[in-house]
Amino acid sequence: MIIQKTKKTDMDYILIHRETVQANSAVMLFHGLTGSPYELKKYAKFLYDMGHDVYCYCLPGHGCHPVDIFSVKEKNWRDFARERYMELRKNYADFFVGGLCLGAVLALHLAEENKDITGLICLSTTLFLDGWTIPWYNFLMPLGLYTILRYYYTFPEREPYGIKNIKVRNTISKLMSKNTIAMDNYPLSSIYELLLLSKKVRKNIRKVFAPVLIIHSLEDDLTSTRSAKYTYKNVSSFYKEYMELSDSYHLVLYDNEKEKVYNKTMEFINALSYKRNISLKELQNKKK
Amino acid sequence: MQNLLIFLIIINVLLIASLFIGMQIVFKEDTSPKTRAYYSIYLSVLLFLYLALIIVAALYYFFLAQYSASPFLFMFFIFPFAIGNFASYKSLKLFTTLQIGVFILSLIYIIYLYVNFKQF
Repeated sequence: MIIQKTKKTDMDYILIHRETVQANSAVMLFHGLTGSPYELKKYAKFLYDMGHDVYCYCLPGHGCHPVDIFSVKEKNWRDFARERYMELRKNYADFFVGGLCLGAVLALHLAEENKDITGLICLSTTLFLDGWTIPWYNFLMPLGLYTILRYYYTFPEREPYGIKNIKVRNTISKLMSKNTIAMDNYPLSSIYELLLLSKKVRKNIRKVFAPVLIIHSLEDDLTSTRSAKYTYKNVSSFYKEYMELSDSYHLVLYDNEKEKVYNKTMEFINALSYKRNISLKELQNKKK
Repeated sequence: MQNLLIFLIIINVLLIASLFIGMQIVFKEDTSPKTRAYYSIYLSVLLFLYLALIIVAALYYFFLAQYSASPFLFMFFIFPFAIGNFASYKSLKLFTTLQIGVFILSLIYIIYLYVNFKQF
């Protein structure tokens, strides 16, 4: 097993794969807005142990200097995801794409463009910003979004940090203060770009034909279940699953019901891989 | 209406001063996110008041058939959004200066309207 990281931190990328490409399937995961591949580390390890190669890249604007997030455009994220996908897709029979928050939106966007994605894993999909921690002065947001203020306006990251479990929250809080795993604020310019991307994804969501697993918490503090329900209702996938969590907030991979998320992902991937194996066998039989 | 113009002048002056102070002092890399956030909210409230008042003034002049004044006021309403559309982080200082310049122009124009105000 090879785990590649950057020289100093986990911020750049985490690629968990075998020395020579042996696995039939791979999972490409994208982290959330102002997050880092660190938030997907355990999940990636879990998927690797299931027998898949896992690729978690650090998205443009993240992981380097905090100022970079101010100048990143949603096009940079889209191009980055597309390039990585093109690079990797040819090496695997089955290819799953997933992500958390912004990552889920990017995964949906990739699925709109590419019809050969085996499955989509959308965790806490953020198509609308309407969670219960969105501040009271949210009504001023359009003023910030469409004027020069978007480069000045920042939402400070604050409790509950998207986590319901108090023990985990305290740990995250300590790590956040050291700025080692994620940024401690959301610049409005990055939210602007996320909303632009979400708008694009919503416009073309009917072009998503890949099987999709949607997991969303009922108490998500950043985005309500509206985003997940919208996705579930509007994708054209023949196979779609929606799971609601009742004891978690936004960061479902670290919260009280993380096992449920892990197990559901495993079920989803196994179900699709099984179907793929059957069809491949059928194809081989036909050829014979 | 004269009161509205006075209020608009005050808001305009505050906006110019606040944006300038923000650019020079508050929005620096070492400023805490919380301070930046609260200062941004303060700026947003000012901008909200400015836009609301300027649109009321523009409509007032429009319905009184003062067609020379209302287009200017509508223009000042649109400018912050136009500048925001073209702004980028790399050239933020330039665009902020431009925005301050537009606010100064609008201040001069509103003072002109106030001085030449006629009750209809």
